[in-house]
Amino acid sequence: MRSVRTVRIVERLLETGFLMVAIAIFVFFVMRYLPGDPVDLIMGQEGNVPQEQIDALRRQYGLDQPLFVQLGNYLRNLVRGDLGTSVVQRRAVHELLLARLPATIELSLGAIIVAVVIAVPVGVVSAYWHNSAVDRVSMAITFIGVSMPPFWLGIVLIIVVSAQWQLLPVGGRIEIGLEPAQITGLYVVDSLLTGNSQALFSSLKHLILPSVTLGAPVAAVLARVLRSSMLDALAQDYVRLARAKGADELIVVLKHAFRNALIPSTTILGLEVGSLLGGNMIVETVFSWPGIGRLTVESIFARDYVVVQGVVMVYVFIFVLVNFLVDIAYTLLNPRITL
Amino acid sequence: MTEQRLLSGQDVPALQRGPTLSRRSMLRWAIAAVNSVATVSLLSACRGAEPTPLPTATVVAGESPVPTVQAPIPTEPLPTPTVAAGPKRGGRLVVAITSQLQSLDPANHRDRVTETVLRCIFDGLVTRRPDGKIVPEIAESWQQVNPTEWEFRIRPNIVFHNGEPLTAETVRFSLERVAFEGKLDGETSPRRSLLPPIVAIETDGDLRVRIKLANPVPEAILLAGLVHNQIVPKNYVESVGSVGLAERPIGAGPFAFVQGTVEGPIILRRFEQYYGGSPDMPPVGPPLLDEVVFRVVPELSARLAALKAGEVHIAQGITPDALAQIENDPRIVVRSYPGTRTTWLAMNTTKAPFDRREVRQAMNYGLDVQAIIDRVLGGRAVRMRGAVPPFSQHFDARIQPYPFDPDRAKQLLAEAGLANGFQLIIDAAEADRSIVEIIAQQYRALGIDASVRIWEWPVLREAALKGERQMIFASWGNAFRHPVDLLNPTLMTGGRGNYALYSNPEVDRLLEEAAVASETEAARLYARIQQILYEDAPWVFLWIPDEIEAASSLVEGWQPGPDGRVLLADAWLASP
Repeated sequence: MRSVRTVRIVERLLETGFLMVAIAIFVFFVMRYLPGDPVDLIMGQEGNVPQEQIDALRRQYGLDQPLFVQLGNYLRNLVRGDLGTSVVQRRAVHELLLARLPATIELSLGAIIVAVVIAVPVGVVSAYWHNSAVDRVSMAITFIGVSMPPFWLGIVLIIVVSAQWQLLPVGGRIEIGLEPAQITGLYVVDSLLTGNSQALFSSLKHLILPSVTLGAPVAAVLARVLRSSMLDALAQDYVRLARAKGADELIVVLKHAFRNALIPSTTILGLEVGSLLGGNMIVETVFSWPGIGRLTVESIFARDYVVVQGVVMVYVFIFVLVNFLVDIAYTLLNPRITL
Repeated sequence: MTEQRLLSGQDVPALQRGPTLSRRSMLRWAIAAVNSVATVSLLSACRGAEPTPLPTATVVAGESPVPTVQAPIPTEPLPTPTVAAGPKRGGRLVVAITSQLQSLDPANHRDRVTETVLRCIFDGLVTRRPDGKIVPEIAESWQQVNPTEWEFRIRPNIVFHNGEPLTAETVRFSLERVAFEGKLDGETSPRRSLLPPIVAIETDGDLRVRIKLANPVPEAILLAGLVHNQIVPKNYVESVGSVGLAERPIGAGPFAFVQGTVEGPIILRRFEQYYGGSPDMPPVGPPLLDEVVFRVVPELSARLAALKAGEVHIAQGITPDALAQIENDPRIVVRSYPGTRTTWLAMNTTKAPFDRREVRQAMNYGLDVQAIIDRVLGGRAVRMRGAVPPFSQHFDARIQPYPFDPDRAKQLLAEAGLANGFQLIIDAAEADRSIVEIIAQQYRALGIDASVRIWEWPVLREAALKGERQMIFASWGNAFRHPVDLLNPTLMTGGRGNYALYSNPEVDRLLEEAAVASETEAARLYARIQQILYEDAPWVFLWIPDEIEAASSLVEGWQPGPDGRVLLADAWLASP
């Protein structure tokens, strides 16, 4: 049993590796198909730059070579674990990614926590008292949540909570100068590990608004899915049986119905990680959050090809990894399911 | 430096404006992103900043002069601060910049925001005063030895933040890093084109540097180039490499680097041994502030909110339409200064109807440029009278802007056989959408069927250069304030900014001659060029927008400087 599982995991990892490279190649061509050249864009709309100097810089960065030679070089370096060098920042792509990945992971985890904390009670309560006033109101709110663009919510929160009430900071990850010693790069975790309460409070304060902004739409989707799967579950024979046996209502709802209703919700949560990563691009910009999302936006505009390729590979990896974890979660939620 | 100093300085426009997401464009993006992979249309939507209304009844927090931690945010509204008696030492000042930096190495970027930060850490041989004049900084004086040779005398006893003395040799080393190939750990600096072609740089003792140019170049061009290239410590750079310098920059400027990365925040501390900077920009001496922090806040509404919340003291990159939200706030001071980014509508001179001069002139007569400057830009722009901006050298002041004369415009169109108008598509980037909509509306009043299309800038740029566009809203930075820096790339045949695809052999020849002519001869040639361009009208001449910054009223002795610099060497924070 265990060996089958290990084989499956190894298979999945190999698949993921191929997928990452395939998508990087796809992005390689799409980015180069887009009009615009990184060196030309670096020079901007400004001054008298001789064409020879632009050509020389393109040569220096290897951008003058035929596309397939560039792709060959890229793949060769990739095999050696080298993701290339950013044209704009002149730094290794893996350095850029590592510098920014923790911020994005921290924000995404914050958003997931917000989503789960909101969605689970709302979904369960709405399903249990379905068609009641509570149900209607919470479903109306989730409907707004689904349709609300994150940047709008973010800006409203900044204006009201930060500028007007001055309860939480406008943006950034932590108060300047309070950064905890780097262990994982996640400020909340690092402050806990180093027992730095000042840094912990500051980073939590900075994390709240962006997490709410990013997590709200996910919470809305999740609550609606959870409600309908709870409704399904509550109508099942095993729930009726449990009730007939005289089980406590709380046990019936949470142990029998909720646990089974979790499977579709877990799937949705896994898929929503995709929208979290997309939403990051916007939320990180609004909240001055130095993560992968902002790096992606900046690199696409600057046509910093290799950075975009690197970022996309990270996205693919995270997405596949999360959905793999979701699959594993299935086996825990329902032992009849195997990998 | 006092508040009374004239705010007539000008800036170096963004080499590439950092991408900021507007609400509208982000919505478009959000929708598209849900659909699938990034497409061209999706990318086209994401430039430009747009303000979001902020409540006016907010509190601005004071900053404690204690430098260690950020000041607490007060919950009670503060009274309007009274003007303090005199400059006060201490405090930490936070500046919100619009995008992350490209590098911390002053030779390895082409970005104005990067320069804003790095010029607090590094000084150059010369600098530009807010009034536009180039004055000595690390150089004490300079003279032209012969038509292609210049000698700079270095101010004695300057030290870098690490104690390394600044000598002629460090100056030579610093300039060679930019001017010569392969000097940045084997790579060539992207700033190379900012300096004229240099054959050799020689030192004569510890305090004299000679720059030998490949050909005669106007003094203004050489000095303007030197304004944008800063001096680095040779021994340090040789030991840590360019990569090391970019991780831990060390300069001879007013503030020393403490910590930070290009992603921000970047923390700087007063350099006590600072030689004081340019004597032409008094007062001279070490800065008053203990610390300066640069925070990256890409979204305009977040910058304004941070300013209102007292989290930052100075916010850069404010747009005219956002001013209404802060102008009446007594705790916020808005300052603007004339920029150097020229804007114009480039007409495709190779295709009908803009292949005809009278049609192009009609477009100039038919647009009420002054009304747009006054009403839409709030007066915060300088009008372009012709192709050369008024602040530029060799500007011909005799040129008067095309008057707004719709009848004349209609008459010219009728002469061109377009009495019934024609179909016009004005293409622009997202950042310029609202202004271009207004322009289209004015043209519709002339009977022209004008509409607007929005693109991501690199896409539009390439299409325009291929002749696939009719009229585009474009801009070009003229940081050097010399026609060579603007006209050669934008109106010479094949120029990389020649979106009008304008090709006039006479103008090409005159521009080539003027670039190497003596000052008086150049003046004559540029006057002729301006006359031709005015009549040929390859562009609808628009304006040069002001650069706008906002600050807490607690910040004293501060002003926005040329080149997007915040001049913080003499700034101080008043007690709230």
